Amino acid sequence: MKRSRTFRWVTLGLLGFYVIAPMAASIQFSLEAGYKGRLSLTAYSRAVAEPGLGTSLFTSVKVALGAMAITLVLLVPTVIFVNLRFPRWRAVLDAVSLLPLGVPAVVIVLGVLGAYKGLPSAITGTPVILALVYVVLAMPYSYRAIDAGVRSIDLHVLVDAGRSMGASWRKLFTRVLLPNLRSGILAAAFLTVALSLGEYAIASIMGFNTFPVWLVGVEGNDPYVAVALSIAALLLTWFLLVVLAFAGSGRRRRSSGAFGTGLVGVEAEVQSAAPSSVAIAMAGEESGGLV
Amino acid sequence: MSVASGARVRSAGSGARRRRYLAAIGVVPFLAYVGFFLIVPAATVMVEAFRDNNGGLSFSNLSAVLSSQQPWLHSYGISLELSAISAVVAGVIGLVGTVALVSSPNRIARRLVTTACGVLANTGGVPLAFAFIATIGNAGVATHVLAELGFNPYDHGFSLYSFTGLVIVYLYFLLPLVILLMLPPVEALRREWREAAATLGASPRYYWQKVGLPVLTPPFIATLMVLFMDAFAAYATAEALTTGSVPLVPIEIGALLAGNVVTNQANLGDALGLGMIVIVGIAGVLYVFVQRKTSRWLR
Amino acid sequence: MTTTSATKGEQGVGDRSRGGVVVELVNCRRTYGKVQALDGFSITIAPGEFVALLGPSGCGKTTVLRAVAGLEQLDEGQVLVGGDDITAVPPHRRNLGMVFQAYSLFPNMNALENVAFGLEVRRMGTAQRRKRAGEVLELVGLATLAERYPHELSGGQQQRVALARALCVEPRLLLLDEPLSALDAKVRAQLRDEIRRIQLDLGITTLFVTHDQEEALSMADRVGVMRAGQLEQLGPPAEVYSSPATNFVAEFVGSVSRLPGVVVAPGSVDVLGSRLVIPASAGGDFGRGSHVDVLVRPESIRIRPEADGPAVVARAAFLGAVVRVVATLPDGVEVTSTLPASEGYTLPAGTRVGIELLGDVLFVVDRQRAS
Repeated sequence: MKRSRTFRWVTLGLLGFYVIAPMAASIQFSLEAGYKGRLSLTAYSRAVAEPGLGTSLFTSVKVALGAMAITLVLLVPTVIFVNLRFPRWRAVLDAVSLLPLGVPAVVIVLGVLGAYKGLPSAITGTPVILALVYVVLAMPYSYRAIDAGVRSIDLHVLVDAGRSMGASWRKLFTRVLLPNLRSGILAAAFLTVALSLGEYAIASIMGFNTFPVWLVGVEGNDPYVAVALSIAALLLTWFLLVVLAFAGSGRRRRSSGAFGTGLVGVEAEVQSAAPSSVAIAMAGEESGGLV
Repeated sequence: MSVASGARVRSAGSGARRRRYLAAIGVVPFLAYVGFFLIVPAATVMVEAFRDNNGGLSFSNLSAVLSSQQPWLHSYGISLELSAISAVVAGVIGLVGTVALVSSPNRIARRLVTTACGVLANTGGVPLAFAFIATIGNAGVATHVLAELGFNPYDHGFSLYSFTGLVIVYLYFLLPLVILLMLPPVEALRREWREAAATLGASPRYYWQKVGLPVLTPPFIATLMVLFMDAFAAYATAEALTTGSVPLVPIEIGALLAGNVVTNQANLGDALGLGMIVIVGIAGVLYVFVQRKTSRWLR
Repeated sequence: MTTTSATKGEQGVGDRSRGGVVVELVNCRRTYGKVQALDGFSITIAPGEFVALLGPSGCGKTTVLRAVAGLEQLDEGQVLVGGDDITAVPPHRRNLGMVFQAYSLFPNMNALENVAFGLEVRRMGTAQRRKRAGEVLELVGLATLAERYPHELSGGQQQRVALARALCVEPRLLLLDEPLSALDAKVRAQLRDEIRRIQLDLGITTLFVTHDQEEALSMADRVGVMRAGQLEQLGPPAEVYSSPATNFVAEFVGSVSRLPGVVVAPGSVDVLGSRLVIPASAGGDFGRGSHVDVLVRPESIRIRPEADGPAVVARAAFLGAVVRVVATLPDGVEVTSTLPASEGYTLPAGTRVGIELLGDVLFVVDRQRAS
C-alpha cells in the first residue's frame, strides 16, 4: 500500500512540474526581459506600446464575436428544434458535428481557397471568412455544449407548459428557453471565442493579421514582448475557463454537463466514450488551441 | 359523415409528409452550413488533387507526391514519425499518470485535475510554442540555469527547434488528452478483478499482465488514434516553433499556399491535402472499430 | 507441467479427500479511523464446516472475510489456517478460494479461461488446465457455456463461474462474500442449494458472509451473528433461532413481538393473560414482580377473531403460504403473528381479535432498559 502512495505522488509531481514549468519560466522570461537577475516590467510596457497590438487584437475580437454570433444563431435553434421534434436526427447531427475533427485545419483552408476564390472579396478578402470557418472548427465543442444544455432541461415540459398558457413561439423562446439554456449557451459562446482568439493556422495562411499571427511576427523582433503578451493571454484564458468550469458545476448539477461536455467531454458521458471524449481538444492544436 | 372521414384520412397522409418537410427546414441551415464550410472544401481538395495545371484530370500531382525524387514522401515520413512517436510517448506517460490519478481517493483533487486537463488539452499553438521557447529555447530560463550548472544542452546537440523539440512540446497538450480519454476505462477496472486475481494466486504484476493491461488495450489504442490524428494535423505549434525548418506536411501545404512557389503547383497542395485526409481517415476508422470493442467489455 | 502436489495429479475434482482444514481467528481487531470494525473477534471453524456470518451492514462480517483472505490488514490478532499462521502472508500466497458479490469475472477471458486462471498462475500446461477447468464447470452445471464471455452471461451464471473459478485451484478454504445478494430471488434460492450441495460434496471448510437470514439459516452448519465488530452468538441455526443468547440476536434473527409481562416466579412470567415458561437460556434473573419485556416469535402467537378481544388487527400481509397479521393492543403494543393463509384471510383490518400465546418465551429483558 505504501509503495503505491509514493508512486502516485512521484508521478503526479513530475507531471505537475512538466505542466507548470514552462508557464513559470515564461513569466520569469518576460520579467527578466533579457537582463538576467533583474526583474522588471519593461517587456510589458514595451508590449503595450508595440505597433499593431491594437489592430490585431481588434481584428481577432471582431472575428471571435462574429464566430460566436453565427454559432449561436445557427446551433441553438437547430438543437432545440431537433430535440423537440425530431429526436431521431440527433444522432445524425451529433456525428456531423464531429466531422471537423477529421479534417485538418490546413486542409480546410486549402479547400476554402480552392472552392470559393470566385466569391466576392468582401467575404473572402476580409476576416469575415475567418469567422465563417471558425464556426466549423469550434463545432465539435460548441454543438456538444449546447446539446448537453438542452438535454439537461425538460424541453418538452417547458414547451408544453408555455404553449398551454398561450405563449407565442417567440415569447417562449426568449423568455423560457434561452434563460434556461444559459449555461450551455455561455459555454458554447466561450469555447468558440477562445478558439477563435487563438487560431493561427487558417488566419496566417490566408494572410489576416489576427492577434496570434501578429504575435509570431513580434517574436522575431522582440521575443520578450511576444512571450509577455502570450503568457498574459494564456493565463487569462485559463483563468476564465476554470472559472466557467466551476461556476457551471456550482449552480445546477445537471447543467454543469454543458460546459463540462464541451470542454472536457468525459464527466457527462462516461460510457459513450466515443463521441464526447473525441470532442475534447482534438482540434486544439491544429487551430492554434483555445488560447 | 363519410365525406368528413375521407377528408380526414387524406389530410393525415399529407400531414405526415408536411412534417417531414418541416424537419428538413429545421436541420437544413445546420447541414447546409457544414456542407459549405467543411464538406465542400474537403471535397474540393480531393477533387482538385486530380487536376493538373490546365484544369484537366490527371494523376500528375499524385505521382509527384509519391515520387522518390520529390521531397513530399519525406515530409509524410517525418509527419508520420512525429505523430506516431508523440502519440506513443504521450500515451504511455499519460496512462501511468491516469493510473496514479485513479488510485487517489481524493475527489476534489480528481475534479481539479480533470478540469485542468480539459484546459490544457486545448492549449496549443502560438502561446505554447512561446512558453517553451522561454523555457528551453536558446535564451530560455531553464537553458540558462543548466548552463550555469555547467551543462548547456545546446552545446551537446539538443535544440528545441527540431523534431525532438516538437515531441516535447506536443506532449504538453497530448498528455492531458490521454488522461481525459483513459480515465473512464481505468476507473472501470473493477477492484474485484484485482482482488479475485490475488485470491487466485496472482501477484499484482501478473494481474496487470493478464487482466489489467489486456482490458485497457482497446481503449488505449483508441486513444492512440486520437493522439495521432491530433499530432498529425497540428500546424500552429510547429510553425511557431520551427518556422518551417522541420518539413511536416501541414507546414509544406502552408508554404505552397503562401505563394512561395510557382503558382502551377497549387494543385500539388491539394494532393498533399488528400494524403492527409486519407491518413486521418484511416486513423478515424480504426478508432471507431476499437471503440466498439471497448464498450462491450467495460460495460 | 504437473501440479505441485504429486498425489493430486490424477485425481478428478469431485473426489478430492474430505476433511478440509481448521480455520481460526484469534482476538482480531481492526479500526478504520474512528470506526472499530472488528473488536476482539475470535472464531474456530471445524474442518469441512460451513459457517455463515450474519449481521447488519457495518457489523464487521465482511471485514472478517477480507482479513482471512488477506485483502485487509488486522491491527491485532491472528489468522490461522490448518494450523499455519497466515496473518502476515500476502493474499496471493494464501491458497484460498473467494467468491465476490458481483462483477469479479475477468472480462477479457471467457468462462473456461476465467475458471482456469488460478491454474494458469500455477503454471499448469494449457491442455491440462483446460480439461480441469472443464470438469469444474461441469460441477456447477455450466459446461455448455464454457466459451461465453462474462458480458454474455446472466448474473446467476456469472456467480457459478466465479464459484467454479474459486474451487478449481482446490483451495484449503472457501470464502463467499454475499455471493447471492445481487441476484433475483428465484436464482438466489436455486444457487443457494447448489452451493451447499457442492460444499458438502467437496467437504471444504467454508466461511459465508450474508445479511440475508434465510440464506444463513438454511445453508450453514453454524451461524455467527455479529454486531459492531463482535460475535454475539455462534451456534447451529436452530439454536440461534430458538435460543438466542442476547436481545440483539433475538430481534435480528427472525421476527419478534415485544410484549409487556410480569415475572411471577423465577422461570415463569405472565404475559397478556397467559403464563409462560422462561427457558434457562432466555435471559437474566428477574425477581418476582419485575416488569419485563417478553420477546415471542410470531409462530408462538395465535390470533383469533373474538368479538370482545383485547386487540385490533392493524394490517395483514399476504405472503403466499402464510399471512402475517399485526394486531395492536390498547396500549399501542404491536403483536405479530404468522398464520396459515387459510386462517389469516378472514382477518381484515379493524377486526377485533383475541391473542393466545403458546410455547416458551424466546427472550426476556428488563422493561426499563432501552435496547
